[in-house]
Amino acid sequence: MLAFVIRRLIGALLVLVAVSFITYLIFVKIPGGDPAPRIAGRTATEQNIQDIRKKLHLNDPFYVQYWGMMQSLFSGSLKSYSSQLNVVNEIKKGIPATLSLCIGAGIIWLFFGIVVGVVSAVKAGFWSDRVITVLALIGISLPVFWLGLIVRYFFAQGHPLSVLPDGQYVPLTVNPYEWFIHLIMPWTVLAVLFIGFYGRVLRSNILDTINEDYVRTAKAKGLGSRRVMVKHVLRNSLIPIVTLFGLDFAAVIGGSAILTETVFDLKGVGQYAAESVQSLDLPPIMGVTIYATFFIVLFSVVVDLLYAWLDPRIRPT
Amino acid sequence: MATTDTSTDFTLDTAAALAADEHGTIEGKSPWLLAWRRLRRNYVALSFLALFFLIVIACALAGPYARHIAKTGPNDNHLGETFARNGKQIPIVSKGGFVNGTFVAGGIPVGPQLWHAGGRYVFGADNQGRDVSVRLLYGGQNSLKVGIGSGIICMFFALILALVAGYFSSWADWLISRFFDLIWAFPVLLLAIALGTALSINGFHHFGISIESGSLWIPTLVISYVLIPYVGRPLRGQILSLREKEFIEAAKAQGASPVRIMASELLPNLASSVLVFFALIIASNILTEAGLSFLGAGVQPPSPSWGTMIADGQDRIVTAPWLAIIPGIAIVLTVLSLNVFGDGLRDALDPRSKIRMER
Amino acid sequence: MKAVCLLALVGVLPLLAAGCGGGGKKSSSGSGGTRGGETYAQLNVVWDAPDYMDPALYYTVAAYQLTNYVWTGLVGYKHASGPAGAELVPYLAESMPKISADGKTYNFTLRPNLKYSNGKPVKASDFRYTIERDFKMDSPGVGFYSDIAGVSGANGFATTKKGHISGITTNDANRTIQIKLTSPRGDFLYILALEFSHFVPAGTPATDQSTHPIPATGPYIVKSYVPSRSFVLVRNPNYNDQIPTMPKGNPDKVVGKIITDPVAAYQQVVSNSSDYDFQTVPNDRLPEAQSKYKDQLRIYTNANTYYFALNNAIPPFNNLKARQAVQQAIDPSAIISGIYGGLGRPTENFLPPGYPQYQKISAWKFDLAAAKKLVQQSGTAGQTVDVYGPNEDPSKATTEYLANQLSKIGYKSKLHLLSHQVYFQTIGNQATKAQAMFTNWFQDYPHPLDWFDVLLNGDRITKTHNNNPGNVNVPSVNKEIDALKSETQITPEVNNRWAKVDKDLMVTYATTVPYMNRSQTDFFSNRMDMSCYTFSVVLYWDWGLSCQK
Repeated sequence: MLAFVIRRLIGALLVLVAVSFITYLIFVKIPGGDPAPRIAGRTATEQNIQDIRKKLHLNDPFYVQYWGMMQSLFSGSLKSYSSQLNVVNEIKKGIPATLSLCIGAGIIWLFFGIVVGVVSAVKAGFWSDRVITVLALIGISLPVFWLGLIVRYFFAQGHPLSVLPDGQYVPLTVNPYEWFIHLIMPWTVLAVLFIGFYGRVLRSNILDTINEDYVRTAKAKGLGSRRVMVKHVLRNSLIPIVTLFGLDFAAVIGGSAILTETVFDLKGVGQYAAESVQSLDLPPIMGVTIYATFFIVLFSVVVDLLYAWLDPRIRPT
Repeated sequence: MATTDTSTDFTLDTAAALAADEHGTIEGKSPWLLAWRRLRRNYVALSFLALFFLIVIACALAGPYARHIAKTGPNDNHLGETFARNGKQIPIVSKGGFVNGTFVAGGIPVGPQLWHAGGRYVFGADNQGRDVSVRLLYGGQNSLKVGIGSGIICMFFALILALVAGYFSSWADWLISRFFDLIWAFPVLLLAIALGTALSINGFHHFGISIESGSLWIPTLVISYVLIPYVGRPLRGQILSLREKEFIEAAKAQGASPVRIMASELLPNLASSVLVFFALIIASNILTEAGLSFLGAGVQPPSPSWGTMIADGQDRIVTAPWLAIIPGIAIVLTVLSLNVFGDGLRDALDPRSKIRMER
Repeated sequence: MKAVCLLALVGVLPLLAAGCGGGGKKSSSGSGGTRGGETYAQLNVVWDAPDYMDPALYYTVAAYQLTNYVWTGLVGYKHASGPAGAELVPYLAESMPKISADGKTYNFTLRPNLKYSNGKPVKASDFRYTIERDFKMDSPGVGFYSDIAGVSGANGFATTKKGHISGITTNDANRTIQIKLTSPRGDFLYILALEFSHFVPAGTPATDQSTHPIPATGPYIVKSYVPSRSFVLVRNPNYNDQIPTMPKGNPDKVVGKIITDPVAAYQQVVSNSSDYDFQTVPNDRLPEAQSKYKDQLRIYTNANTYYFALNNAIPPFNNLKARQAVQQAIDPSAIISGIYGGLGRPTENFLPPGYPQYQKISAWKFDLAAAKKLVQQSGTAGQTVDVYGPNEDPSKATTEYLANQLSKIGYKSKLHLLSHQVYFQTIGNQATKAQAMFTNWFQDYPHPLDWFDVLLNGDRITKTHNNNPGNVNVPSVNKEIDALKSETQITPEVNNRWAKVDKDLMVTYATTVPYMNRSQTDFFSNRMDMSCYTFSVVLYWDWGLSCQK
């Protein structure tokens, strides 16, 4: 087990390095991405620009610059090109919003996903199953940013039904009530997408499990169907869900919530990432990429371990 | 246990019911025929497939529609012009500005005219006076081209990689699995935005390949790798288990080359997975393209795409809500029809639902 | 130069802004000065993100409109609406300077007993430190100071950053400051009013101090600043009315939330969570604001020009007829109406109206057929034109409009949209070979040199970060601009010469296609007393003079 963990961690480190280097390469080769004139401003003199290039080591070969950037990132001194703000600070500032959004949405989609999955599996074949299936399919067919716009318009922007505040994030420590109602819409929008997907996966898992021999054995033994359901079927069907959730949650924290955060102006890490990319601002892009990859890799290792622990048949290879 | 509609049931008695259906004569039927029969009975899936084809045909007819009915191109602005409705000339975009020292707020485009303006502005105008319905159809062409194109490329590479990894194993397998890991670990949306933005500036002119910045190839290629691991891994898993089956050993004993085995033995067995994945990948890619275009990293203006139209419309959601709502509905209908059909296809081909994209 | 000539320097600027619009209400004409006794406790504002809160670095209106009450320089603008607001008055200086006959030496004396907000005295030598700090920090404003002796050249301070600027000599005991220029400049006093000339204490580190606000010389200090989030301004405890030409300021405290989404900002004021929305009300909400909140809305047109630059150096727009064709293919009122919701005024001049050097040009008519003919005659029909613009609306829509119009008159236009972060440096690079570009300019100070010399002087074209992306280069006009540069007196004759420069460049040689002076909005909650609304042509909404009901 220990060897497995160590191997995975080394692999994770390699992945982080590869990801950061590839990201760096993409942006270092962009014409017009030279940050010196941008920082210097429209009325800058040639001297200004040369000085800034020297200060930021922009005349060094690209691998030297890459290494330099990594060093300043990990020592917390890396500054963005467009705004001169400290990258690590900005990411830290965005984490509460992103975490609030993802954890809240995660709880909602896990809960409702399980409910939807169980109900539609139990009612398999009946019309209620069909209806739920179609609703779930609609859920995964909605562009999340479009749903966000529509929801924002109807519930927050002057339409007669507007009762909710329009985007923005209020920290939990400042005002719990405001924190909650500001997040209702983003939570719903983000969760809708996943509820459908999880419901359907759980449904197929349950129906598969029901067909398994050991369930039939349990039934033949005379165990009540509810007990069979909960103890055998549900437990085994939930295992893949748990691992799926772990990975999705990591991806969402790592920035898949980009679109939701942007539409609701929550100023989380995902929105910071999107704005940095659109501004071709390399330092924050590197920072956010490392941050996101780190989460994904971390959760991936955790999930593998969890899976192995939950299902003794699976052993790490 | 329901026995009335056996086409999508997952109950224990599926096989028994089907057998009963055949009135007892147990002929060996090819799995394809059985699948087709199941699919045929799934009216919901078939009707959504028809919807998808309708959408594709409508988008393909964008040109004739633009020329003969709407009488304008997708990128032609009509700012400052008027059009005729019920005999009156109406400004396409409302006039604003300082009139005799008083300020008048303007810039509101006309709403959906449907059939009242003789074919022009059926779905209204956008803030540059362009015809929304024409842009919707041309945008659909672009969104579909990118979605389907990237789906084909994704499927192709995922399949090849899975075959090589699953069949040849050892170092090739290790290498390809690490490659899958890498893509999986990447915050893919971020990377897609990054690549899309970066390449949209000047295009891609390296290694002998030259792609202009406005070309549709950029979003197509950028999106295509996103789902490779999601499809590649389960395919590889399937190939790994198929490899141990007897018919492969038999083929090997007969002296068939690896390529031959892959082509004639493995592929047919993978076909059902491939088909189902294909439909679902296209659906997912259309959504991804919409998201990228919304952020400005996908299809580049002035070419329309459903995503860019929503982005353009979000600033006018109060005064001109149709600008954002209509392209969104188009996306939902297209993606939904593919998802429903893909679902029905999966039910038909593999009632035990073993085909699942691994996340 | 006598004092009266200095006032003539500013000239008589007709009502530039506040009076021209705002739903028919003329908001303030000649109410002029400060109103005392109207103090109130707190002003809540919603603001755009300033770029910096360090006077050596900030260059956005978001920073400037806020901090002109915090850091001050030798001279500054009069806090008044209408043309008086463009006048320079002494701030930290005791009086307007004595300028030598050749216009190359400026002598100032500081007011006595000036203090920073931390209680330390303001010294004359702080001025030299401030300018040198600008150079050490590669401030975007250093270009303005290149004519001070000892700055330019291989051994100048701009290059070496060592020693001191020889052209600035100060005497702390006598509180005197002397500035020597290498050649006279008609706009030098305006340059001394820029934020880069605002005093900082000697020894302030030559790095961005935005989050450790520098001690102030004005009526307010920055108590806190969280970039992209918030700021708080409170009264300067050590101010003691040391600058009598500045208002003391009515609010005791200014609390600002930084919200960059204009819709969210608008909503904040509508819901009365905030008293002022800095951002322009988005087009989507303008009709509603106009009908429901007419009295709380003010529309102003400040000194800016939006224009399309055509690359005069390469085909097809090195051809005069081709450029004339583009002039006739653009319909300014359509752009203003459709894309800017009506918030703008059509123009054919490069200079904004309100400048004494402005003489209205009416030479072009929007006529697509005539434009097409001109393109045919020029022999450039069918050529590809690379059209560049920023990727953010409404500039994006304007650029799409330009590309489309070019297609309509017979060119093959190819659109390139870039993030505005890299936009200006890209079109400022000759290697990009952009042929038609979206661009604009907002005044730094109210003088034509800030326009023609910076943007359209062919002698100042550079290979990279070129501020003249259209490569406008008319030798006779270049000579005239250089000649006018040393004219320190503004006379009707000088004004006419500038107006002729405008006409030559826009009409005779049709080098550039201006189309609009953009208008913006100030939006207030119903708590604010609108009778106090003062709009200064340089400082915009003067929040220090605001009052609440």
